[in-house]
Amino acid sequence: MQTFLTWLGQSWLAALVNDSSWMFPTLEALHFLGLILLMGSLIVVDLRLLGVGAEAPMDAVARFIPWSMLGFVINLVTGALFFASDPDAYYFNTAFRLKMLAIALAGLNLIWFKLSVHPLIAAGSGARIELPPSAAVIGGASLLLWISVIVFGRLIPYLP
Amino acid sequence: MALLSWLEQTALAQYVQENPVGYPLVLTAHAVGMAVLAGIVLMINFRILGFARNAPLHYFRSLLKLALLGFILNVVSGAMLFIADASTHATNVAFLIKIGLLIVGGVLLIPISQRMALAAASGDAALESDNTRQIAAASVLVWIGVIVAGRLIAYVG
Repeated sequence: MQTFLTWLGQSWLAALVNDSSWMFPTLEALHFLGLILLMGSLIVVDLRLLGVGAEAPMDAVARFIPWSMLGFVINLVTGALFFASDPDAYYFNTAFRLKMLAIALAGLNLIWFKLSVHPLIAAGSGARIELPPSAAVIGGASLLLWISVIVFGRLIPYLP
Repeated sequence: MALLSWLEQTALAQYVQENPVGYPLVLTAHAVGMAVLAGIVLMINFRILGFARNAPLHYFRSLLKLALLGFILNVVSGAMLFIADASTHATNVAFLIKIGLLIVGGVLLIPISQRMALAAASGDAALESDNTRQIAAASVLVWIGVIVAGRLIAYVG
């Protein structure tokens, strides 16, 4: 692993971020814009799963999911560039590791959603869908996990 | 300015400056508040601009209340971050641009929420006007500006 981290820290990718004064702040601004796309659309979908606005058709609300995907891709790319710019500082950082753990758990939660709730939404398009009790658990877990992703991410510079 | 240096010496400002937990804690609250406020405002504007038209506006009105909570959280956490370093912030170009855009973004939310209330009373079609869409488009751009300018406070003088 250390070989990889050292190699990455000396790669053209690291140089791309480190060799200009505006690159890092630009990536940070993009990372924040990705964050609001991701969180904003998640709030719309997850609160509905939790039972808020039960009269709103679930298939219409679920159309906001692609905005989460876009926000996630923006943040995966910008986040990977942060990591490349100083691999050791991120890899050994407690807050960074907790953030990655929370993202992994959120990914598993998404798989659970895709397998259990999503087929019901797709099948009942336009009609009123009775959400299973697991929908509320998935929605609540998603909100908690993504808020903890923001919290751990924000704490990376402050935790060892 | 005397007021700014007085602010920096208040007990609250000293806490944010000196407590090792204080500054990261307030900064984290500010990031969560931002996600809630700007995230919801962005999605409401996407809906007004014509995205997911069959999602009822009534649902987005309840989300707007949550956005207001994010706004209050960020006014409080933002004020704490400001007083911790008041004299530097007061002359920081990115900070001043952020506050300017924040006022514009807040003012634009007034017609948006009024028209959403109207649509709740008389049907979602009430929101289908070019003028409302222009306000929503302006709101998207202004809030993106608030976030970018806010992020750049740490980098510009």
